[in-house]
Amino acid sequence: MHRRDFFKLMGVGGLFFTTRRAFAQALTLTPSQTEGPYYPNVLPLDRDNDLLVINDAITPSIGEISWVSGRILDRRGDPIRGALVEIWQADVNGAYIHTASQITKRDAGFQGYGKFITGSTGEYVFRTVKPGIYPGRTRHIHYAVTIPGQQRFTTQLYEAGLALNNNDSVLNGIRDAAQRASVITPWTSIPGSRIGEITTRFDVVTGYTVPDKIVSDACQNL
Amino acid sequence: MQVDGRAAAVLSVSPEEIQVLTPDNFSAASAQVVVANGNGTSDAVSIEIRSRMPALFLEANGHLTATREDGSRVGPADLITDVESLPARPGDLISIFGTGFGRTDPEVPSMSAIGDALPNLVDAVTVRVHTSAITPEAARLVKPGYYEIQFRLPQLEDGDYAVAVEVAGVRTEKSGRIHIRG
Repeated sequence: MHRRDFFKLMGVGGLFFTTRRAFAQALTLTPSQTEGPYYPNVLPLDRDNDLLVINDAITPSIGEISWVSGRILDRRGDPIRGALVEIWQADVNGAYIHTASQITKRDAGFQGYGKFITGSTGEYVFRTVKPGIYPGRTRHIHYAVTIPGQQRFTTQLYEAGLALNNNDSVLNGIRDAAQRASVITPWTSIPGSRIGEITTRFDVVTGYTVPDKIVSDACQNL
Repeated sequence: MQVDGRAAAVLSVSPEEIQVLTPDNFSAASAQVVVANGNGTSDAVSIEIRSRMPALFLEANGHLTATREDGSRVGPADLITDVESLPARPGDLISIFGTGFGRTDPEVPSMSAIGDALPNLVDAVTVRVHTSAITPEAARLVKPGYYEIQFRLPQLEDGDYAVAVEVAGVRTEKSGRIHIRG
């Protein structure tokens, strides 16, 4: 690539990375939900944001490839950088990597857990498979979000349109209807994909507030 | 800004962050960072130092900051507002960008300009696209702290694929995403 093109590229990227949503918005706080019993009791060696392939394996895990992305936001909609986002979920068979998983027939190619530390835009992304369903629950992905200096926050994400959602005790334990709706997202096909990928977006709105000093300084730069 | 008492080259300063290049040739595994300006000097903060800690630059939805040979952007059409992006095609020569890939030959001091000949990485680099391991066509420093990894995309069905890079066996902590349409 030509050097001049590179500097043009980084100039555009710089604009993207430094734009802030610094204005207050009426956002629905993401409800806290139980961590559940299957946070990995032994974390996998590979803990990256690609749960589909473990290390150098040439066989990916089985299931519908799913890109799960979104942002970690404070209560005003400002992105939170440096947040640790962890997800863990069942494989296509409904099995967790936890040793106490109800389903023991595991896909050995599935990582089962991943983590991502957000940058200045608050964005995160994971490549995973659509979680399998096991008795007693609807389809879901567990989240834990840790903002430096704050308490770890856990919640769960659900797929819109599933009849099982109506009977899920964890999901329906969220009393506020808007909060309950905020954790149910559409999982849609990626246009043009020949490998059947699906995608969903889930912004986690935390109760945390980015300090005023930073927000007011950011406004001056807009 | 000083790292263990040595001046660090400042790349940018914003209300939330200061981007600097760590000084060269650290042998210790940790260092103390201090920031000073006209108002005074900060408390020292300890940071971990590693010889390599590769990371890729990402855009929205985890898409890689990536270009073709002509400098045009790779990605879905709506990746960046007012910037044209096109999907990559199998066989395309693609450049992706990141930082923390380690030593180059010739070595370039962190506060020095780079000459016309871009320095290549010393350590072996492997690009992983989905389940394929690819040896890049080029892996080099394009400006202080910014590395370019150029590789040819394998034959893959239309879709979005995860991309990671390894240097001397150390893999990028996060995979990026590349959008392929044949």
